Amino acid sequence: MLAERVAAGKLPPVEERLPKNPFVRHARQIGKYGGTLYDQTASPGGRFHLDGALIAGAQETDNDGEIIRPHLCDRVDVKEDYRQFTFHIREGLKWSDGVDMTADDILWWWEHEQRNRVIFPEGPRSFKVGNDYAEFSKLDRWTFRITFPTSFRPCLNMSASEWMAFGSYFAQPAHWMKQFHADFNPKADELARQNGFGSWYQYYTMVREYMHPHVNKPHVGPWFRAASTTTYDIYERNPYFAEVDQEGNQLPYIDRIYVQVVEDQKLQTARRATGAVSEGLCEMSQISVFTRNAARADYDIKHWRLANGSECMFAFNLNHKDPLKRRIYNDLKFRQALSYAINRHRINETLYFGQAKEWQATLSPKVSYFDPSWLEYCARYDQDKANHLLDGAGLRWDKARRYRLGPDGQRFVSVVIYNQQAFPVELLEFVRQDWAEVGIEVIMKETDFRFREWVCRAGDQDCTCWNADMVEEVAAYLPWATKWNPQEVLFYARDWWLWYYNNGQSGFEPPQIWKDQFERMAAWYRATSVEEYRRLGHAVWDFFSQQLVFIGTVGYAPQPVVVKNGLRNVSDALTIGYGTDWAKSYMVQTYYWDSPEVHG
Amino acid sequence: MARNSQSGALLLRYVLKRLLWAGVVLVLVSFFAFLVIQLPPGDFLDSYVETLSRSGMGVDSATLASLRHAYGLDRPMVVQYWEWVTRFLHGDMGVSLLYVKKVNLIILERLPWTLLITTSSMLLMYAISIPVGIYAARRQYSLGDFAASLVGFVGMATPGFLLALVLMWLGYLAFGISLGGLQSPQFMQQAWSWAKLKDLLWHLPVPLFVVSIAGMANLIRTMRATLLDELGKPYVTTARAKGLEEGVLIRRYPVRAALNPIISSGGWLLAELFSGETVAGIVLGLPTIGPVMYRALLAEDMYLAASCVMVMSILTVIGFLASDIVLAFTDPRIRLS
Amino acid sequence: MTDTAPSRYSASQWQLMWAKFKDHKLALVSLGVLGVFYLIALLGPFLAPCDSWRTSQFAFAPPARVHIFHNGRLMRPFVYGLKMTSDPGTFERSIAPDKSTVLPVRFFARGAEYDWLWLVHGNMHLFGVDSGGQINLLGTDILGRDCFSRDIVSTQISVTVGLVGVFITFVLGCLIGGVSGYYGGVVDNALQRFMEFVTCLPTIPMWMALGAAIPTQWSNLKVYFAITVILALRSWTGLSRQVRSKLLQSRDEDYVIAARVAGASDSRIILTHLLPGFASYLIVSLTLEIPRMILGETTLSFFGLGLRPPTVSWGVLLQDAQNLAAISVYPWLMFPAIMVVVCVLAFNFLGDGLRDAADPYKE
Repeated sequence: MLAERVAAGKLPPVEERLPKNPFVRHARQIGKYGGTLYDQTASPGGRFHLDGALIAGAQETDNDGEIIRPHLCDRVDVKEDYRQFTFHIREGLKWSDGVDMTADDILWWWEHEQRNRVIFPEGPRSFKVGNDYAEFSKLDRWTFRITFPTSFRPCLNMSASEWMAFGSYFAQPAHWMKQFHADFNPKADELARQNGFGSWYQYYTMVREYMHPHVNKPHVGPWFRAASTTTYDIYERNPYFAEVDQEGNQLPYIDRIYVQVVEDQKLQTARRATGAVSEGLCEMSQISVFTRNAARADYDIKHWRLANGSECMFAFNLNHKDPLKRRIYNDLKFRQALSYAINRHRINETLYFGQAKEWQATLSPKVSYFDPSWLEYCARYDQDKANHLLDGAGLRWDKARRYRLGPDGQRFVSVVIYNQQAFPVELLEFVRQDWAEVGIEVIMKETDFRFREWVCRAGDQDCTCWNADMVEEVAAYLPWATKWNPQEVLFYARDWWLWYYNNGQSGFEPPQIWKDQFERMAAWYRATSVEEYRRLGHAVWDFFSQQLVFIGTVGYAPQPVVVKNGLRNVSDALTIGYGTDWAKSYMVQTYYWDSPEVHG
Repeated sequence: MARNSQSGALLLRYVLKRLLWAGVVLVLVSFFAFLVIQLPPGDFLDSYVETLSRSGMGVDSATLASLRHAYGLDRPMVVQYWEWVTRFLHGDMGVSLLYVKKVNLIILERLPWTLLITTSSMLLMYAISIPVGIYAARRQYSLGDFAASLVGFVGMATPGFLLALVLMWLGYLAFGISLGGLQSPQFMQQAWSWAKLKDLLWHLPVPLFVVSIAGMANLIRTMRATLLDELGKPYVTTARAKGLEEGVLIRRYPVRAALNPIISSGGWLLAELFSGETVAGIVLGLPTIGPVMYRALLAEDMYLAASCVMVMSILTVIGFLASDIVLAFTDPRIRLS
Repeated sequence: MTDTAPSRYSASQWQLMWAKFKDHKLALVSLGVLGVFYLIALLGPFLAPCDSWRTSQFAFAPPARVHIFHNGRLMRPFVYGLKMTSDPGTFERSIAPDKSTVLPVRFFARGAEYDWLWLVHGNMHLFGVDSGGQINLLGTDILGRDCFSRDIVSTQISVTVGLVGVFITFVLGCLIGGVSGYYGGVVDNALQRFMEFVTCLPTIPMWMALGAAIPTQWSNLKVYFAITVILALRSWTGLSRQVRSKLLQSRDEDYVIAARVAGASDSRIILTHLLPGFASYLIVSLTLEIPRMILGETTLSFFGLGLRPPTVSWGVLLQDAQNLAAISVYPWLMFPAIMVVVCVLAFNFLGDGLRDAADPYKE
């Protein structure tokens, strides 16, 4: 695709487009150039199956999520007990429009976006330890340094996650973003208004997103968004992408990704089953359709695995407004009982063909400080024990022994709200029946995402549930990977978090054991030696496990994937998940078509 | 001469009155729609939170409050409504936070497809229902009458969403038509050509059938019933006695009279068509306004949702107006009332 | 029909109506069909062999066949037990009859407990098999629940939601249409405009907004009634219009003037003199409104606004069937669609028959 442009003089030849020392991505087989990948999404700019492939950051992890290695930066120096991190960007790295990507972009982003009080009135959320921010400094054109006020080991992990993905959440193409910034373009307000927004920073906030449907925004990933309508998006290859295969051919092989907007989930499944996408995840509940259609729709089914701690885990609101419910939910016996009451084996057999693991929601067992007892904690199916614990929690049976009564003598009912997720909702029905058998009545209510957010933000929910990522070594150390990240803590301990976050100004005070946990977490992030890192990591996660803030069901589920025939370099067996940045681990940039002309 | 101009003036007065009333209705609808869209608790930012949290913006209440203020989502509803309405009257439908685009652009992209599907469905409905209704009235209780009515009835009684999915699947099995949308992905990016047109024509039958079948049964039944009524009237017996040929007879008077209720129900038909089209649009992934409106309502993307509702209402009101005016034109009694 | 010419002239209005109705064969059949539906709704769990909520490991089992010959011997009706083989490699699961397990069908069997009409607590079922086995006349769903039982229990909700909704429609329609038609003039004009405005409101956004506004904490019963109200809000305009036009026609009749002169109040005139005159037309309209409500309930479920577990209705079951697996691989899940179609058609034909019969003096 690019050859003609080079010939026409519109594009420099490939040697000039690559950095001096491009990243070598090992491709299983050397591929052919050309072709289009087809995918689908629920809304323009929304997530789609292959979207993780668009990310490229300072560093990256391997496919097991255990090792950090350089990516767009070819070297990272660590000094002063993890206080100072010096990043060396690959010399000659360019944005997709040919402009060099340098340390200036990083500094501009930090100074004029993150620290801009109009865009971020609260200040940047990341790169903050305690009450102080890290310092960014530029050493030379291709080198920048981040200096933290105290030791902050997780910075390395962050650099390997999407948190430091260039052009996404970290660094912006300054030369291009300036037009939207009022400090650099006096017409920025007008530009924003032309596009329907009230003021420049509203529009700026939208444009900075890498998933934002702003076409032709300079990017460093393998593809960039080149066209967008309300029915489809098109991503085209980045001529300046910094990766090559082991023979020196610039990646990616495939020219284009075409993403169709399909609002309805069921239609998405139907399209996947009829070969409308090049690769897609199959729902287990619809698996029979996929297997039966494979021949007609010309695809193959591969058996991957989902690295999730739990297909579905439940979090009860420990900060419930109603004191009665708050007392019950905070009682560890209650949570333990509910965990014992779930018949995980039945869920596994019926929904996952016995292929999933019946364990508690926790970290990946491969993490260095892992304790196997965390997997089995209250994960055994034991109705007697559950009943015994519930009796101890003060929830007695009613006269007819049909359901339990709260301490006030009324029927004890909890409402679990959830939104359409990746897990099969049938699972919820099993859990509801399991809990009904020990006398705990729950109502499973499906809502849309917005409503659930709204309710949880108000602290009005009884319980909610969602799909739990299983984090690997590298991801586990990210500040928001613990059960204490701002997003998840909302679901079970909103007021304690507010207290912690606002230094006691709002929310209400958590019990001492939780305050100790805060200290422990802060100390963990300050750890400097491997031994300290492991010891504290173990302690932090041990507390979360013992407290059973999340009740897990089954995890590590089988994840069949449809792959169109003729698409090569797709892994036969892969474990995908948050810990390995989802689609980034697929190595989509090494995919190629056997006959690219056919799949244009 | 005087009588003609008098009835002409009456017609004009009638049309103006209806136009004025249509305007009032639209204003009321706009307010009501805006109000109702805000009815569910929460707002757009609550659904945007997931994207925000990934981008490093803290999603604590303070940040959300400032974002809400920045996007003007914390102002009283009346203020937001007023701003939207005044912009709307200037042709600016606001911005969609979900699609990050001006609503005008979104609607402009989708409106042609909506009009295509709606008008084609209506034409299809009339083109099939009227002849079938006439046939059924003439050959009452015959096998043909029964068969025609049966298809119509089953189509009306089957929930549209299931019918759409089943037909779409059968279309794929039998003809290999790709699922979803009005065009195969390969053609979407290409310029118009014969192949692209053919592809579109292959994708049209299922949506058109699903949208039109729901109303067809009623139309056939109405046509049949009113025609039977007319055929029972004395003037028909007289005409027959005078020796007028059956075919000519039917077409000249009874059919015209029987068409009255059909025309006058045109507006209602359009309203039903729009809601049927929304369901079909969601299930079949059509590039019409319906699915967009649905997503906007779910995400509480205020301006987009309200504008979609307004556009649909405007089209419906135009439909009512058109049928009223046509009826007034053909039936002088209406103008006088 | 046994009427002879002379008795026709002396028959009462109701006798004529019934005779005319019987002429319409389809309407007669429909009446019978609806009778069956409402009987099913009344008996409910008694007719269902299994507990509609009991899950089992036999997911997507095909419909069971009732046999009377086993190994060549004639026996009382029975079904075979089920055995399941699953292949985790290909994710294929096959459920086949296990010829070694014979489960005789017992009539008036003891089975799962249920509450009948909130009054009687019992466990007798019309038919069933011994505990430990299962009889799936219409197969099972993804959680191994018996589809036949679920179809029966869902009928209870679905055929009654229409009745309740239609009652609300009736009250609203008569009230507003009555006032509009009787008083005429400005009041009539204003109400007419109001009804036009209501008709112009797009249905789906209104439903979505109203449905989303239903609080989470509401019990299923409350949600059920909220849904009937939401459905009724769409239908009352049609009935009002009819009531109004009929009132406009008849309010200047002699008997009405006489009543007014006699000093009867307006409401008394409307209720006791005018309305009964076209009660038959009202009944026809209401009958034709019920199928719209039934379909409306399924649409509400499509948008996720309908009833939630453990309540089950046709709309809920149809959402389980709204996917390719149900359509192409497990078609027995679509049986509720047939029930919807039959019920809707039956009401429509019944309405037709009633309409024909409502004016027995018309040829």
